[in-house]
Amino acid sequence: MRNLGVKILIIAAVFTVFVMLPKIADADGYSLEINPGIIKIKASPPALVKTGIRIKNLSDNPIELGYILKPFVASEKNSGQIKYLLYSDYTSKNFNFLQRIKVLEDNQAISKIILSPKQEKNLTILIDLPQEEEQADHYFSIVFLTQSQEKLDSNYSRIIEGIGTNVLVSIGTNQYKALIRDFSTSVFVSQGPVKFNLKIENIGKNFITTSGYIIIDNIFGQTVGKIDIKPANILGKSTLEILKDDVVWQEKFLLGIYTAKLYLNYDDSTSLYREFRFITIPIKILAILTIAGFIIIFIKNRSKTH
Amino acid sequence: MWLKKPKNFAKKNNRFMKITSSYLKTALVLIFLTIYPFLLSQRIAAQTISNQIYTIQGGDIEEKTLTNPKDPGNKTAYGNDSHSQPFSFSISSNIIDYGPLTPTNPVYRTIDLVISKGSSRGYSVFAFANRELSDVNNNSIPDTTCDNGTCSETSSAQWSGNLSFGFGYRCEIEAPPCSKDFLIENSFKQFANDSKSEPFRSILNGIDYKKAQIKFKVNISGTQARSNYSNTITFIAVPAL
Repeated sequence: MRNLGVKILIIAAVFTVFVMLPKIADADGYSLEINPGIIKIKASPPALVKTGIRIKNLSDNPIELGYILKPFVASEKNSGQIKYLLYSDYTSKNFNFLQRIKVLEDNQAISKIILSPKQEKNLTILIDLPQEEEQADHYFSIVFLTQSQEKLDSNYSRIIEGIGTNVLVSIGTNQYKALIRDFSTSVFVSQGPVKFNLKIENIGKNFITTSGYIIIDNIFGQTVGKIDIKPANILGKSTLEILKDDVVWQEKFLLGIYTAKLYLNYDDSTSLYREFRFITIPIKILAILTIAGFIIIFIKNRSKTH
Repeated sequence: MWLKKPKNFAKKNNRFMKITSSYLKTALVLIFLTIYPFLLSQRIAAQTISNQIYTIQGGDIEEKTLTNPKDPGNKTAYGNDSHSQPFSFSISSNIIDYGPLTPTNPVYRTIDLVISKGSSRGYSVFAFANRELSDVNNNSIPDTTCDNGTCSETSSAQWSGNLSFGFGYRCEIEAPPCSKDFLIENSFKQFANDSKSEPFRSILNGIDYKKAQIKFKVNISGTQARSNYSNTITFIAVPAL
């Protein structure tokens, strides 16, 4: 009995040591965390916009960070990814707007910050919009970059890590208009889960945030499924094709005619609706049942003849 | 008969329970004593982050103000994604040492990139080099064009021959978030070169937590000047929209 107690004590001690030992981090690496990942601002000039960013050094080494502001547009892939503009492609509008942005720490404009191991800092993004600011959207990333100056007497590549927050700014009167360009799946579906195609086009000049859900009704009008659509930001004059894996009805056994109804909202006020029907026939199950039926009939007939 | 317990069963059982319970108590106390300082340090760290600008709400800090300097009363409402999960990015090394380079002997090095998308729908990792691998005399190891001379910063190609020279990279996982460009074994690409105003290229695009391995390759020709070559590679991770 005493041995059992000792065993329990040893197991507890070993467990404690394993759980509580600090993980050995690569001393040479970087690890950063930023929050929020996306900042959305709608403003009417003149205005002084302030918003917070929290940045944390997750590594065990102190890190010095600088920052850059990089304007972007939506990627041509329509996947919700971004594409940075080349410096040579900046317009005067880009230059003017970027000059109005400051990063503050304790109300002081900064160009660099130092983070101790595991330290996090709260920074303020300040955008000063004068009366004459043009009514338009501006999209840019605030990218914090490590400032390594490490050198070797050898052949080497120095690695810099950057982590960014995307900032979407809409100035002035907003005009929103979006269209559902595609809401479909295969006409015949043999088995679940069912993946839907969903493509939304923002034909307005300002960015929108969409959210919504899909209701699936069976042939009797009963609701048999619901899929929530994750909120997504679509930049002005761009299209978002939501990945098929993001819009999935997980039902596996399907039989009959179903109606998929899409309810989509953008900017909390406007809503869009689209529906379509799809036919499901569980071909594999039917084939197995048919073969099984033939086998049973064959066996019965054989037993009768004998 | 087989159900009959020994006379001193209850007594023994009690003693066993006492021993076990005393060891369990000791174990629990040990665990608590080990965990407590750790919890306390976390708590202290969390308390030191507040300042007058922010309102702390259970770890999510997000304050938005929008004021007209001429008319502070005239505020326009705007919203952000509140209570969002942080976005994080880690790189396993801050320098890659290729060591001494000898002609037609390719050198391979790898680094790991780890991305956690937090509340965002996905992420992209962009990469670019500040210049070709160069020395102080402006001699440089050119970016690879791979075996058939066709790979660039936008398209990949196979690079396995030791007589194809240059500097390039590949993404080692044959699945997202690595691009399909790297499905073929030994397919490499060039980094976008900032000094030539080549646009930053997204080398990873993903929708969930992922670890990817980037493999660097350098191979020099016999005519390459003996020197120390270096450059800076920047990896930028940003959330998807």
